[in-house]
Amino acid sequence: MTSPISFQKLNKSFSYGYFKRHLVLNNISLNVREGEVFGFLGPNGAGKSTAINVALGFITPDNGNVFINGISALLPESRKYVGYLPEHPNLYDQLSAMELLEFCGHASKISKKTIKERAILLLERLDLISFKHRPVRTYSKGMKQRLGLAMAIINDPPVLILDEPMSGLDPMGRSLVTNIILELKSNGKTIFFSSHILNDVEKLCDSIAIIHKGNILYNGRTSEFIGSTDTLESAFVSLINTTHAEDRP
Amino acid sequence: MNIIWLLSKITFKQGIRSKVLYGIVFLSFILFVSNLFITQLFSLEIEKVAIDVGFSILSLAGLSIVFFLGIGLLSKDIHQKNICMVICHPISRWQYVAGKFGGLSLFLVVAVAVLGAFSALSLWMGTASIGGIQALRNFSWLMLFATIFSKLLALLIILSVGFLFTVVTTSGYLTMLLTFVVYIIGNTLDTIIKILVKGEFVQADIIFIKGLKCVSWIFPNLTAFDLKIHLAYGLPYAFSNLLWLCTYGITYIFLLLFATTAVLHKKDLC
Amino acid sequence: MLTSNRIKIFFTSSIALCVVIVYGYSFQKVHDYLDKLPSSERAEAFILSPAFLEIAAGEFKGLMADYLLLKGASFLGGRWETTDSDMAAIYTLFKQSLTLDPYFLQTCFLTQAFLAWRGNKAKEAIELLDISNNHRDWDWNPGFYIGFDYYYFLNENLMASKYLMEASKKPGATPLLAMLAARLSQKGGQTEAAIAFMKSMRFQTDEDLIKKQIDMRIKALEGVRIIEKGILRFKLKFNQSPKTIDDLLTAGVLSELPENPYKKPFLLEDGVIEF
Repeated sequence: MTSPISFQKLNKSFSYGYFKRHLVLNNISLNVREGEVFGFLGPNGAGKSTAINVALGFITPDNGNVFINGISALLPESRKYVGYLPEHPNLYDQLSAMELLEFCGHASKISKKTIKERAILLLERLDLISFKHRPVRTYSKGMKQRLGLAMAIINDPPVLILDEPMSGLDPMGRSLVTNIILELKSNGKTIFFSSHILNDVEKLCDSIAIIHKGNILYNGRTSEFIGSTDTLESAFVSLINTTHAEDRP
Repeated sequence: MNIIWLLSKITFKQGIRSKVLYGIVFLSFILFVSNLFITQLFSLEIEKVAIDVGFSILSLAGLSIVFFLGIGLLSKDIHQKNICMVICHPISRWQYVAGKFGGLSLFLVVAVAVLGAFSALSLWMGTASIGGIQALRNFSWLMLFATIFSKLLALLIILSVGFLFTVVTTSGYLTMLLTFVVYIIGNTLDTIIKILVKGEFVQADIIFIKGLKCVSWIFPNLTAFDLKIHLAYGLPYAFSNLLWLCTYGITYIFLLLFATTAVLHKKDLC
Repeated sequence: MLTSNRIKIFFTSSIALCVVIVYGYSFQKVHDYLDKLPSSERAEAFILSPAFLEIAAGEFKGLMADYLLLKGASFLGGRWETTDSDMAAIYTLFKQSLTLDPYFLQTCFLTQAFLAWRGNKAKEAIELLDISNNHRDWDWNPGFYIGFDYYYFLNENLMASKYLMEASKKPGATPLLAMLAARLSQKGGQTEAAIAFMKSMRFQTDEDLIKKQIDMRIKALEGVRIIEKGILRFKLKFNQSPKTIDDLLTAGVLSELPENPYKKPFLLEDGVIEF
């Protein structure tokens, strides 16, 4: 059976200056199982977003590839199965929530009637229904984040990739999003999300991968990782610290 | 095809809702009214003056739409990463370029049609004292239409230049600056070469002239799209010329869009 | 609390008032200075090469041409006295305008009115009119003006005849032009042609100053015609030409000499009457 999201020996470096290159992803391989919630953790600048950008075809890897349901992420068709929520949803702010949802639905080739029904349903669920015809530029940051989530799931995709879905949300918004993720999981969706809010990860994720300086430090069940320590947070901090210590000569 | 139309539609909507548009509409309205007064300053062939003024306003308004609205919207997409919101759907990059260009051209078509109607109206009012627009020598509606259409093509060429520079550069200002430079070159290069070849005012090296002629293959010749003088004085303009002009303009636009797509395919979007 | 608020309002409004007063004063000063500028007294033209202008104007050539023309014309609008340098500036402006738009009839018309009539710069006028004449191949007006300038200002009847003949072949030209051209090119009958020429020019003109000059010329020409008829009768009577114009009076051919509007007597030199 093909994995919904599979990173295979992924390498990516960015150039800076004239000849220098900075390695962001170093030979990364990950497989996400169907129907699980997968947490992708790491400190800032570890390469989380870069990996996600490769998975969505925004950037081309130097080596290796990402496959979504067995289709190369370089092909637009791979994104038929994916819903994506960026960290800072940059929306076309002259348009209204309804128009944006219609665009996303049509882009994924679902019927007009379904789009309308699902859009109303989602906007109600995400507390945006009374603003549905207002231009997005009048929205607050949290509202934009919630609308971004609605746009990601309007076409009911089997795979979801969420980049820091909790950032910028107040406690109410966070619990709303947490509930939606759990709901999606119970519907059998595969969810891959990056975060550094470890509380949420602990609550939601079946499996995690920890990335640091472009290398995968851990990849496996959440429960096994926490093991004897009390919380995910303390396990995470000690792992990163030991790696730092090894780095030093 | 559906995807391209979808993208065109939301781009068009964005354009319509943009605040820049109000400014452009307001400015053009003032200028069109001023046309009525400017024509009063002349006594002979005022229809020619009305055409000069009307079409200059059309150019000016069209250019501001291309620069501030067209390049502005696209730069926001590419440089501020709004494009990710589109590309995260099963949409390939060439479809994105085609859709965006389609939407902005649709917007320009509507804008030029409205502005063209305005300028025809001000032409009609400005020339009312001498018997209206029909008093123009050899006036034909076809020529009026051709003049407006060729203006539209020139604007679309500048827009496609803006597309290419947007994906090549990293900031909207740089794009506008470079596109403006191309606009200036496109409008003057032909005249410069003609003057140098004539050698009446300036003497130039033959190699220099040859070099300029090579350069003129790269830059768009916007002078060719300026048919005002033909309309104003009823000078003969063969239909085949018009067809070649369209072919030239459309193929130029296609080449630039190809280049834009090629660069965008290689580009890391985020 | 209330008083401090009042003080604030008082201060802000007095500062605003001061700014308005200073603005008004400086506005006045700036305009005084501009009004005093001697350059506004005279026509001015940037000495830019027409080639440069043509390049710089880009797609706004036509508009630029209109502006330059208007700049030249507005200067002469209400002025009677002009200096040579004014005329040189106007010549430059019109030439620049013609480079940008060689078709505009208004330029022709103003060139003729200003350079030829007012500035007495027929040669320059002809140079500019020739540009229009070459471009406006459907229009007889520029050729007619050139012909007129050759005849009236430069006394070159053959050149005048050549241009008039060309002009007469263009659509809409009055049949008179061909006749004029023919008469000007032959010795006899020139006076008749000249009178007809002047009359048709008068018909074309609506500026009073030019009309006055044309009327004077017509009157002089009519005087010449009377004298020519007298000379013809003198020849029939005495079988020889008169030596002076006064011979016509003493011989009783003419009872009185026609009045010369240029306030000097008609002269007969080598068979040609001068006025």
